[in-house]
Amino acid sequence: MPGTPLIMNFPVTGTSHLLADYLARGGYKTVEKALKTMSPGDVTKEVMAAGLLGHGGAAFPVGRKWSVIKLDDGVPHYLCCNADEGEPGTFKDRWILENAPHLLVESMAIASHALGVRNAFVYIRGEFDRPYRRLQAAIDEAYNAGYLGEKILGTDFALDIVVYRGAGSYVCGEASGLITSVEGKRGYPRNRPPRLTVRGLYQRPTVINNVETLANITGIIANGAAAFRKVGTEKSPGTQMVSISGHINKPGVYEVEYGYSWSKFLYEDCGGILGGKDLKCVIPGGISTKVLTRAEVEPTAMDNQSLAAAGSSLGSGGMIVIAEGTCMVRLLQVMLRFYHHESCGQCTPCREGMGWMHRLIDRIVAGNGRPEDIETLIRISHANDGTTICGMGDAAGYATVGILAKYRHEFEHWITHKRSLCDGRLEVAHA
Amino acid sequence: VKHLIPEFESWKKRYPAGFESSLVLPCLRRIQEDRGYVADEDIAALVDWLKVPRMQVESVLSYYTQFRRKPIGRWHLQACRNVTCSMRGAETLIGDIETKLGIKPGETTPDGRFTFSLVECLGSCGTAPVLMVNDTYRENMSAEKLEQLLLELAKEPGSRKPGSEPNFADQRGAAKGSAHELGSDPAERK
Repeated sequence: MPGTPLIMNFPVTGTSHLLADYLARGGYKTVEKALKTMSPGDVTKEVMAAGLLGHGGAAFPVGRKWSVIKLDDGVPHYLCCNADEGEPGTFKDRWILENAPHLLVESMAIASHALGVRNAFVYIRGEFDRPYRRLQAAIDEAYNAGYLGEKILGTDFALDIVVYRGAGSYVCGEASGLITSVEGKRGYPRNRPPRLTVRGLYQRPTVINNVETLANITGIIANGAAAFRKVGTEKSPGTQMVSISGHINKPGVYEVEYGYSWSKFLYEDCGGILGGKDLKCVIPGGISTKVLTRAEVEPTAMDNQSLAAAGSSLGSGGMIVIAEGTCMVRLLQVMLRFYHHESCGQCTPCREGMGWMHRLIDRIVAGNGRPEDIETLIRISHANDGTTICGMGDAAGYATVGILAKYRHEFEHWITHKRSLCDGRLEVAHA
Repeated sequence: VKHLIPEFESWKKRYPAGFESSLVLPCLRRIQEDRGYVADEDIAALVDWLKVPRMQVESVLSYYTQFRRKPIGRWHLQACRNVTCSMRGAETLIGDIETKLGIKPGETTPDGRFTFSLVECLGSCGTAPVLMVNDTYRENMSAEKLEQLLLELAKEPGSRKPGSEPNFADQRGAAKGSAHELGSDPAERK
C-alpha cells in the first residue's frame, strides 16, 4: 500500500467482513469508549482537530459540517451515509461496504452519538446487491449483539440504522437529491440555503457523509486526532481510497496516503500502463473532474492542494488512466451521453444543455460536425456553470471544457477530416 | 401485493414516526422483486396502504431507471457502457451480446428468456467490462466468458413468453446457487 493504511489495514479473507473477525480486530471498542467516556461535544472536537475532509468529492471539513448541528435545539437530527456511489470511475465505497461493513456501522454509531441522532440511514445505490447484503447482514449482527437498537452497551444511547436502497439515479448521490429520495420521492436536488444541516431530511437538521468519510471516524476516536494527523499532509490529513481503472495493469482500490507521488503510484503500485503504452492523461477523481495530461500529473502529489494547483481535483478518488492512442472525442461522447442520461430534468440549463451537448458530439462523431461546434460546446458549458440547483451541470461543463482545452486539435481534426485522429479507439491493444 | 403487507409493516419499526412516505421506494423494490415488474394493482394497493398520493408513486416509478412497469425476460443482461467499461472492451461485448441473442438493447428474445439493456456505470470499473445478470455482477467480461455465461443460463429452467405471468421469486436463489456468483472476492466464489 502506498503509505500508511487507515482503513484497508487488515487482510481480506472469506470471513473478515463478519462480526467475529471485526471483534477480534478490536471492533466496537471505540464506540464503547465514545459512549462511556466522551461527551458528544468531545467527539466533534476530536474530529475537528483531526482535520478530516469529506471523501465524497467536495473535501469539505467534516468537523465544520458537524458543528452546525445544535445538540440542544429539541428537534430530531438525522444522519445519512451516502453510499450511492455512482460517479463513473469510483468504486472505493463498495470495498468498505463489502469488506469492512462493521467499521461503517461502528463509525455511524459514534457519529450519531456526537450529533444527537436517533435514526440513521445508509443510502446505497440500487445496483449494489452484494454490498447491500453484506451491509444488511452486518447491521443484523450488530442488532443481535446489542451494538444497535435500544440501550446500546448498557447506556441510554439508542440508534436504528436503515439501509435505504436507491433504484438507479446518479443525481441521488448529491446530498439533497439523496434526502429527497429517502423521503420516498423523485431524487430532485434542493436549493440551498437552507443548508441540509439546518433543514434536511423531513425538514430536520441532517448530516450527510460519504462512506469513506464515516469509516475514518472510528480510527480518529480510537487513536486520537494527533495520530490521524501524522498520516498525510498538513492540509490534507489522512488517506484517500483511490479506485483506479482504465488502461492500467493493476486496476483496483488502493488506500493512498495524502501527499504520495503520482508517478510512483501509477508506475510502481499500479504496475504501469496497459500494454506498455505511454500515458496520455488521467481523470483524477471521477469523470466530473478536469483531465490532467501526463506532463501535469507526473510531477504532482496526491492530495487536494496539489491537485487544485494543477487545475483539477481529487474528487471522489475515482481515477481513470488513459493511454496514448485513445480518442478523446469518443471519450467525451461517452461522458456526455452519460450526463444527458442522468440529468434529472429539474433545471432548464442542465436538462436542455446536456441533450444539446450530446447531440453536438454525436454530430461531430458522425462526421457532420461544423467548425463552430467546439465553441458552442464551450458556450453551453459556461451557461450551465452556477445556474442549476445541483452541481451536475457544472461538472459536465468542467469535464467538457477540460478536455476541449487540452485536446482541441483532436476535435478540429474530426470536424475537418470527418474522422478520428486516433481511429476512434477507446481500447488499447494488450501487448 | 397483499401478501407483502405484513413484511412492509415490519419495516416500519426501524423508521421514525411520520416516515411513511419513505417506504415508497423499498415497497416498490420488494413488489418488483416479487412480481418482476410493478403492475397497476400494486400501485393501487400501495397507495391505499401507505396513504400517499398516487402521483408520488407514479412519479417515483417513472424517475428511477430500475423500476419496470412491464414484465421482462427470465434473465436480464445489463451491460455497462460508461467510460472505463468502454475503454476495456464494453463496445465489443455489447456487439457480441446483440449477435448472440439476436436482439437490440431494450428488447427481449421471443422465447422470453433474455432481456438486454445498456446501463451507465455500475460502480465496478476496476473489473471492467461489467455485465449485470439479474442482481449479480459478472466482472472482467470477455467473449469467452460471455459464451460460457450464455451456455450456463441456457441450462437454467424458466423459459417464458413476454407478457405471461412471470415468477421472479426463485431468481435470487437460482443466481446464488449457481457456481458462478462472481465477486471481486475469490473466497466467495466457491
